[in-house]
Amino acid sequence: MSKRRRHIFTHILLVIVCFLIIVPIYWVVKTSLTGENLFNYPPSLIPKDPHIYFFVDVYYWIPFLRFFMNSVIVSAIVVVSNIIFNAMAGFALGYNFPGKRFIILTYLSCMMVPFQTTIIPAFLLTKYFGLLNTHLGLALPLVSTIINIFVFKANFDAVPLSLYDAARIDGMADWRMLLRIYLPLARPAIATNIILTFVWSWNNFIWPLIITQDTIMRTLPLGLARFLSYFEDTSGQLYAFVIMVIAPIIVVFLMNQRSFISGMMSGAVKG
Amino acid sequence: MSLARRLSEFGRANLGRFVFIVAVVLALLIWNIHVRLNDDGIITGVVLTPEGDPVQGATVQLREQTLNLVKEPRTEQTDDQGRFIFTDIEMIDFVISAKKEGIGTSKRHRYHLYFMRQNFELPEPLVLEAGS
Repeated sequence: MSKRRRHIFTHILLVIVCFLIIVPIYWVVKTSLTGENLFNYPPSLIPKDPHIYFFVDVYYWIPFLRFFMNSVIVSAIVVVSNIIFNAMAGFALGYNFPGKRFIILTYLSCMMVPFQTTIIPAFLLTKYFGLLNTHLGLALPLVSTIINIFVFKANFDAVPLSLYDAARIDGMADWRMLLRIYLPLARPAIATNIILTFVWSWNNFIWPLIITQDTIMRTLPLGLARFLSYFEDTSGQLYAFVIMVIAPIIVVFLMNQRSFISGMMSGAVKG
Repeated sequence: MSLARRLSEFGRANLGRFVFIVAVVLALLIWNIHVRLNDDGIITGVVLTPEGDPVQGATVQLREQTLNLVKEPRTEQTDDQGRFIFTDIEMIDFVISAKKEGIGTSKRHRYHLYFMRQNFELPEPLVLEAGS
C-alpha cells in the first residue's frame, strides 16, 4: 500500500471515529434546544425551531445556582488541595529515604482498593471531624489522589539533577526549591492534576449522596438525579440540564488540554 | 527576566483563555443588566374583535404552565382601547386567553419567558371569535 493511500485510509478511519464520538454529543445538544424525543420517527438531523427555554426551565425548577456553586466550591477545594499535597508528596518521593519502596508499594496497593469498600470508615471519620453536610466534608475523600502524586513524581524526576544541586549549594530550603524550581517546571503535571481532579470531583455522586442531608448542600450530579425523579417525561429539560452539568468540564479541559496531554504522556513514559 | 517581559510572555501564551474569560464575564454582565432593567413582572397585550376593533371589558385569564402545581389563574379586564396589563407576575411559562360575553373567546396562547418577572408584551393580539 502506498504512503498516500495509507494516509487516506487513516483519515477516513479518523473521520468515522470523530463522527461516532460527536454524534451523541450533537444529539444531546439538539434535544436540549428542541425537546425532540430520542424515539421520534423519522429522526431529524437538523434542529427545528431551536430555543433556550429548556435551560430557563432547569434554572428555575430546581435550585440550580446553589447546586452549581456547591460543585464549584467543592471542586475548587479538591483542585487546590491536590496540587499542594500531591506536589509535596511527589517531591518527597524523589528523595531516597528508608521505607520509600514500602510507601510506594502502599500507595500502589491503595489504588487497587475501590472507594465503595472504604466508604463506611470514610463516613465515620468525616462524622468524627464534624464535617458532615459541609463543603470540606464533600471534598475530603479527594483532597489527595495517588495517581496524581505519581504524575508529579514523574515530572519532578525529569528535572535535571544539576538544578537541584545548584539550589542546594545556594542553601535553598526544600519548600522554596519545590515552589521556585520544581513547580514552575511541572506545568503539565499541574494541568493534569487540575483536569483529573476537577472531573472526578465534579462527577462525584455516591459520596455527596451519603454525607449531605440538606438539599442546599447537594451538588450537580445529585441535582440531576433529583431532577430525574421529579420530572419523568421532560427530554428537553433533562438534556439541557446535562449540558449545563458537563459544560464546565469541557471548558476546563479545553483551556488546559495541551498541558494535560503532555502531562499524561510524561507520566506514562517515566512513571 | 524583567517583570514586564514576563507579563508580556504570559499574556501572549494565555491570550485565548483571557479573551474567553473576558467574553464570558462581559456576556454575564450585559445579561444581568438587561434582566435588572426588565424585571418588573409586567405582561401587557391587546384584545381585538375578528374585524380588528378593540374590545373593552373583556376578561383576560393568565395561568401558569407548570408540571406539578395547580395554581389559581390571574384575571384582568381590558380598558377602552382593548389593552390589559398584569403586574407582579412571577412565572416563566404561561397560557393566556380572553373572553367576553356576547362576543366570544380567544384561542389559548402559550408563551415562555427568558427570566422570572420579565416584562413582556404579547407579540400578537388576542382575537375573540364567536363560538370558539
